[in-house]
Amino acid sequence: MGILEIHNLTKRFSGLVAVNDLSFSVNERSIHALIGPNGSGKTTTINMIDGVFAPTEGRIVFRGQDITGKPTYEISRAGLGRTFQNIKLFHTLTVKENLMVGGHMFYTKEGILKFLLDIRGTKQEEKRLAEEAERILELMHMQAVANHTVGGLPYGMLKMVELARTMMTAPKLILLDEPAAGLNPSERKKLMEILIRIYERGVALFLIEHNMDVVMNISHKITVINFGSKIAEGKPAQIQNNPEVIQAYLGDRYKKG
Amino acid sequence: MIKKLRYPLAVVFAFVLPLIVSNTYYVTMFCLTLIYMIIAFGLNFITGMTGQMNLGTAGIFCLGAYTSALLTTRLSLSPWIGMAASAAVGFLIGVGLGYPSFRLEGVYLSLTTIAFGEVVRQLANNMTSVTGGAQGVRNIPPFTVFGYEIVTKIQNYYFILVFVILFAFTAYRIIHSKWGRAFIAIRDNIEAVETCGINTAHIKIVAFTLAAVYGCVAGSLYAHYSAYINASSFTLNLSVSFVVMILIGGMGNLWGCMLGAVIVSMLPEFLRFTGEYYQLTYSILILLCIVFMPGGILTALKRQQK
Repeated sequence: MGILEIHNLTKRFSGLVAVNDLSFSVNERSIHALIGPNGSGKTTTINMIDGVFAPTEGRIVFRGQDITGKPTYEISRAGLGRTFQNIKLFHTLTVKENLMVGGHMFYTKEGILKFLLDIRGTKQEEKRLAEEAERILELMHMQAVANHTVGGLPYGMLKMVELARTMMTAPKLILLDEPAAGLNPSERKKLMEILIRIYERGVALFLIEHNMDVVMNISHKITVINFGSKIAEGKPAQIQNNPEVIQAYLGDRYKKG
Repeated sequence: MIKKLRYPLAVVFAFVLPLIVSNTYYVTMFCLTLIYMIIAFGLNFITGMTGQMNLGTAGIFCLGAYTSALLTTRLSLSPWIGMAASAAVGFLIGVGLGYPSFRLEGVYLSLTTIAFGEVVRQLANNMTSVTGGAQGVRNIPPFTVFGYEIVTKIQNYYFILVFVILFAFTAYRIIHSKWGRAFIAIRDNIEAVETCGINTAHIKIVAFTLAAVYGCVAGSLYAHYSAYINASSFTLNLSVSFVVMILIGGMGNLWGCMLGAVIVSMLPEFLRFTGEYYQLTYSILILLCIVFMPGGILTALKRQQK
């Protein structure tokens, strides 16, 4: 059984069928990519998994628990993190503070009343949270920007901050919506290294991505969709040579002769 | 150096101020300014930091004042019990009004808060049998501390000042904690906060409840300080003034709240010479402030230093 199981997922926006009877399974300890042409329903799928909108039909099971239609914060607490295609950060806070918001529910337990009364306990919680943020910054080689306000950082770095913040939510699986988009080749290389490092810490990854270098290099399994329906699934080598995928999306550039 | 000492310095300054300016008229004004500071600290959580417009602060202030005033005049309870009851009312407003309201956003939320303020004012004005109606509540007893009654303006000043310090300290702790970060995170990007496993509705209600408790305790202080309250003081105009305080002082910042409270409550005095043009001058000054110093006076000053 996979860590994430999608059963017959369908999403209709009035007349438009964005996702049509889609089923797949993300294996434990794996990197799984979802690819397909623009408008094929990839982000809609992630948004349904993450609780942004409820599916019209179908079921989503995460670690054996039905999360269909649950609010985003509950899904996140269950161990499912995500990053956004158009980065969503807290731009007036520093990088470290962004990470600490990420760890709010996971490394601190105090309610507001206890917080107001227990000054010492609060300090300890704050310290633990800050230490965890530093550990994640170290993992991602980002200590240098820890105290910079997010607002002024370059695009590539913002993507890293978002990923680091997700790591603060103690995820078992991270959904990444186009992590390599807008990155230059050296940033892309760095991203792949970091994704591998995160994966090696026992976090499964599920990514939507248009950059085939990234997809083909790190994925264990690829699901291809077109017009909201699955057209192929398999290992990178199988996908690269699948005639239907080549016709719908890849072109013959990646075909292994 | 100054940065480290600014809090003790501010406290020392506040303690000697009435010794320097001892004119009763001015001390009266200082007392009101201090009460407004507490309200601004509270409003800062929900509007300044979390970014949710609240135009019902006068209603909160009014409920706090009437709770304390009626319990002490009708039931002859101690003002301290009155204050505790006001704080409890603040909590009830926070949860009771916050829970349905914070599903709304933007202009709908603003309208709801305006409606709340108006409903409270109308109730206070028209439920004559309970509130005394347009007559207001008279002869509200003063606080007593170790058997001493807080009667004179100077005594009141120091009494209220102690509360300002207490509430500022608490606000400081909240701002520089996971709560403060979560408030600002909601203002910056609410969807991302949800992906951090945080229930944003819950955080908004915490911020609003804090604002309501601050506002209600300020109301209680006001009632016993002025010994007479009347529903006609708690208008939408007053609610707007509170928002103006945190807006021109600097949102999200305690110094900004204090500066804003000082400016908004003192400005009428300094503009007295403008006579009938007062409203016009006041409005234009506030407008200029907002246009040329978006983010508040403190933010503008900080930018200049850089």
